[in-house]
Amino acid sequence: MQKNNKKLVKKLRALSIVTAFLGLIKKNLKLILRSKSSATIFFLGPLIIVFLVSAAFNTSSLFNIKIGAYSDSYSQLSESLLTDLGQKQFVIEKIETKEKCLDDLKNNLIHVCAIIPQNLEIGSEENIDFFVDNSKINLVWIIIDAVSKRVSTKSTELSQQLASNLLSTLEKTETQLSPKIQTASTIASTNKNLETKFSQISTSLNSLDLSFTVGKIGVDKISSKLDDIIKDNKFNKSLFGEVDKAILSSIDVAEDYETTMKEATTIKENILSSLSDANLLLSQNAQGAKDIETAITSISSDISNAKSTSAEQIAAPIKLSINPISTKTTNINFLFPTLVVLIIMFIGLLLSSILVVREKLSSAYFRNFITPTHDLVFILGDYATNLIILSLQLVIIFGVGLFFFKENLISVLLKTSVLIFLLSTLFISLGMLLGYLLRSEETVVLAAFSLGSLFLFLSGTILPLETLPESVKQIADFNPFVLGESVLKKIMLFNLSFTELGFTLYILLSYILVSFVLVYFARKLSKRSI
Amino acid sequence: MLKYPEISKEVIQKAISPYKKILGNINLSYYKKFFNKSEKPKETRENEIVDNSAKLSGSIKVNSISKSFGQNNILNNISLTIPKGKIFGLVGVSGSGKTTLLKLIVGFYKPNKGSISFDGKDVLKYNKALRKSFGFASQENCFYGRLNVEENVRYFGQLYGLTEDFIDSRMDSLLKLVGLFESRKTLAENLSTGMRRRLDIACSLIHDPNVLIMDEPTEDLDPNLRKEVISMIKKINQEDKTIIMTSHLLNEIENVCDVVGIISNGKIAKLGSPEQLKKEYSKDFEIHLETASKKYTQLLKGIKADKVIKKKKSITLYVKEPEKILPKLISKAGKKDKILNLKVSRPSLSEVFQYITKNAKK
Repeated sequence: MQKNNKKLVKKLRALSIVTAFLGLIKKNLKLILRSKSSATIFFLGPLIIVFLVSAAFNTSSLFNIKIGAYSDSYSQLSESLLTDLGQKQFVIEKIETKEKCLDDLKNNLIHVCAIIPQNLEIGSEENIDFFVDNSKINLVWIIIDAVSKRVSTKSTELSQQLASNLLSTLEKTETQLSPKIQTASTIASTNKNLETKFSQISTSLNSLDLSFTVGKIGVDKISSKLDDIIKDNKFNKSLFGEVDKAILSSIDVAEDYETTMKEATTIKENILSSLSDANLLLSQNAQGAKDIETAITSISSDISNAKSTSAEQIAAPIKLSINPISTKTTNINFLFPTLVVLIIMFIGLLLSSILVVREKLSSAYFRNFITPTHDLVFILGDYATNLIILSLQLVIIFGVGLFFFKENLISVLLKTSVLIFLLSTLFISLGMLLGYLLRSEETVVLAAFSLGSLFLFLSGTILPLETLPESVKQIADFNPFVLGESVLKKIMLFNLSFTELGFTLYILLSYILVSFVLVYFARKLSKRSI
Repeated sequence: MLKYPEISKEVIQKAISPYKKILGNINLSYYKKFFNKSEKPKETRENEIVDNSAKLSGSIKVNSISKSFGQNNILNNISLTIPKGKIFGLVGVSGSGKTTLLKLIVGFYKPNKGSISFDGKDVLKYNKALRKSFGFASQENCFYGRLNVEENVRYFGQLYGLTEDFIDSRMDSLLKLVGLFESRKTLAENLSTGMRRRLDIACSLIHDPNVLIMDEPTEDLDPNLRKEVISMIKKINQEDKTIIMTSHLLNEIENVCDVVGIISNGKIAKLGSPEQLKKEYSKDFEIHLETASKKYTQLLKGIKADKVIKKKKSITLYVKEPEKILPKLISKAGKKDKILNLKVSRPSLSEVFQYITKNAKK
């Protein structure tokens, strides 16, 4: 019997907790809904946000980027560049002076100021200067990227044209050089023949004996014999005067002949020497012709063997193709997870903190403390109220979301819901913590906005995280907004499983746990302000 | 006399019917006990005095309580006993710690030292369990302006763990008791000041507490509304509920309270029934005298009084036999001075309070 009574007491306690919990939620909702402005904001606010954002970001293009251009004199090339940019997504406006162009940029009348050199031609040494307003942190990189992409495309087109010209010249050269290989070969061969001929001549000439001396014909012996005959016969020498003369004359002729022969020998040697020189030159010529032939063959071969024979390959040797990791096509697909986390964060922080601080500032707050209802029931009641309102808002947002990406969303709906529940819990508990710690509605709103803004600034939404100093980035990596956004993106865009997101989920769960413990103690502390 | 309805077996059955699945088959007698709370208090003796009241069941005993906030000592070693079924008035100057003491009694604050017990049970130890025994109507209106009268009462009933049916069964009689039955659907923010005060009391009574604590219940009310509230307090007390109330209006305390505690400098300076206190301070009669010259030194020579309080323009003499003193005073004053005002009376609780608090300061 006693055991039964204990059980009953337990059941009754549970019953009274449930009654108090439901009563709390009912009361909170009534208080919110009876304020017409609050009710309107709570339910229409997210609708308006989501419609505006959807309409604005349901594209992947940039619109109305105005480029102001100035040049002392527009050349055909600069006109063509501007026309090309204008045909894409940019609005081109020619501006009279460079100063005005820069002023217009400062005054936000244009987004980019392009200063184009006078008579811009291909190969012109001067740069085209693009000026951008760096203070527009969120836009400047997009503009720089978009403009550079367009200019780079135009530049590539020009490079292709130049490369094409170069290639056709090379082709022509190759065509003209090919027959000349044969010519060079013929020259080399002819030279070789000439060389052989000259060698033969040299040999012939060498074999020609032009050596002659007077003594060789024996006139001395004839004269001596004659003298002997005269002496022996005691002929009158005068009788042989004529003969002697003839002999002497013969000797003279012989001597002349000898001289001539000597001269002929000299000439022969000169000829041989010249032939040798000529032969050498011919040999060199033949070698030269051979070299020319080799060179032309090599050039021709190189031209024909060149790897890149297309102008496109030369202008852009590495083909770059940036492929999206997700198949989604418009910005809203990428922005939707961020938008959802952003709404959860701001509404969670603001709604819960305001609800708690209003309750705290209400004169009825004291009475809550003197009832037997446990603090945890109040905390859970407030949390549940916030969760209900936030869920209603998210249902509206996801309802609109379904219109844009029905298939993608339905497949990840369960996982997304679980994650959204975790994120809502986290931001609601943080908001409640602010509500319990601070003492006025104004301070709480300011603190909630500041905290939300801090989370937003330390995320990649406004500035890429990579632009932050390493130490700040390390902190930012644990930013609940960053964690929530990255996990939701991974689920909504890539359909990753919870196992794959383990670590991040554990961090989020620890945040929730710590946050609720702090809320509990902050509520206890808030008694002091009554 | 308006009585709270006894909760019948049928009502209990109806109340628990939505929770049958959770509760299972149980003996209804337990529920009857649970819903009808403890038995009604026994009659207390008419002229019970404070000192022996602790013997009564359901009494509140404050035992050597001290409370400070930071360096600021609010209550210093206070001990008192509040008898069951009585109206206990706590009076003191602003900031004397009356509200702090009330909040300590309901367990909202924890004392730095000492203990408080209700019916012999330590309020701090059995805080959650004993909270159902206390109702607290604060100086401020502790309810939600955007909820109507019924919703406010219902909400606080739910916080006390009462079921919807049980609340429904009490709602009408309670709202009739506090005079808000006709305004049950009116938003609290649209109620008049007096009605708000009554709603606050209704919210404190929804769970049928044994003790109703009221912090300045007639503050900011016009005389008519004050009368209404006082009359309501008396009605509630007739339900055998102990009432602890504070007020600056000592004539009200004097009229309504059975026992009065005067708190000064963080201590209970005096404790007793209004009659006891007045008796203590009214062995003498009071003679208030104001003369044209405002010079009283010569005038008082040869006059025997138990106490003389000199004020800026007048003097008050406490005497046992005013008929003997008065002719002397009139004669002496009449010769050299001119009497502007002369009044003979017994001291009121207000004057007792002033006397005690001034002396306590000294």
